[in-house]
Amino acid sequence: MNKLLLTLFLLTACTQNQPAPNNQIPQQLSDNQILITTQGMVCDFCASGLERLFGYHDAVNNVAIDFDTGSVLLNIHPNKIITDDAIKDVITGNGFDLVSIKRD
Amino acid sequence: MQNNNWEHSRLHLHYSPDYKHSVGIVLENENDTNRYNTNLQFNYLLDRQNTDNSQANAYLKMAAGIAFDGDEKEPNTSIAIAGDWETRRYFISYEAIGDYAGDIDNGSFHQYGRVGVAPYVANYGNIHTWLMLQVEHHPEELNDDDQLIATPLIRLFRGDYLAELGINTNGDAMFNWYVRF
Repeated sequence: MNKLLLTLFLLTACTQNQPAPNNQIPQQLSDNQILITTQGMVCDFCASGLERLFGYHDAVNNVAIDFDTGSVLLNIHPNKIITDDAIKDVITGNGFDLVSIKRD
Repeated sequence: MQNNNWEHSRLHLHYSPDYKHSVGIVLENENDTNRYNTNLQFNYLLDRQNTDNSQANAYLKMAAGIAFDGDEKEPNTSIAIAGDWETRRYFISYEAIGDYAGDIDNGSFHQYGRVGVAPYVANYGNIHTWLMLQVEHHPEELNDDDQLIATPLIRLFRGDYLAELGINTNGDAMFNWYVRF
């Protein structure tokens, strides 16, 4: 049991302060950015479905997810469009609640 | 997903057409008997409640297939009710399961509960760590030590990959892993 506790402690210590590669949510949106706020996004398993589905959309260049704010930031290709209805379909289709969609 | 514990080794392949439904195949070998099960499983999300920092779910799970025990072969069915609630810091889950497999299992009930805490709160894309305690109750087990079992475990996951490792109060190891495609 002592070995188990030591292993748990070491694993926990080693995994703290990991870099956050995908949660860069800006204060100010640029022309090609859309900020979506959701409810219920608490784990990677569920949020990875959002990243995958938005990534399939031909207007979406990049997806950034931030658990701290429950936000999804979409970077859109120039001259491409993703509608609010399409965004809502992805969010609610993954089982989350849509709170807001903010465009510049 | 794949589960290995004192009771069984189980391979579970699932397809989810949407977040409310999933269908799959379960192949299961029970460790202390010659029994193995092949089931089709259907899971249905009865309800989900989202808040800014939590998610709660209630599921109905049904399975039907064939149970094999030596030369015996019987229809096998199970039904389960499951629920969970989690924030990024805390986790609680419960599952109650009823099984029936004719002469091989003329009706049994078991239940599982889990509590978990994340020692740190990670953002999306990082490694998430959970320290959990699973308690399972198998009233039909003949061995007293197998009727109530506690398993402290660690869960690590990142993105589409999740692994759990634990050792129960009888000294048996548990290893589960999940991959989402």
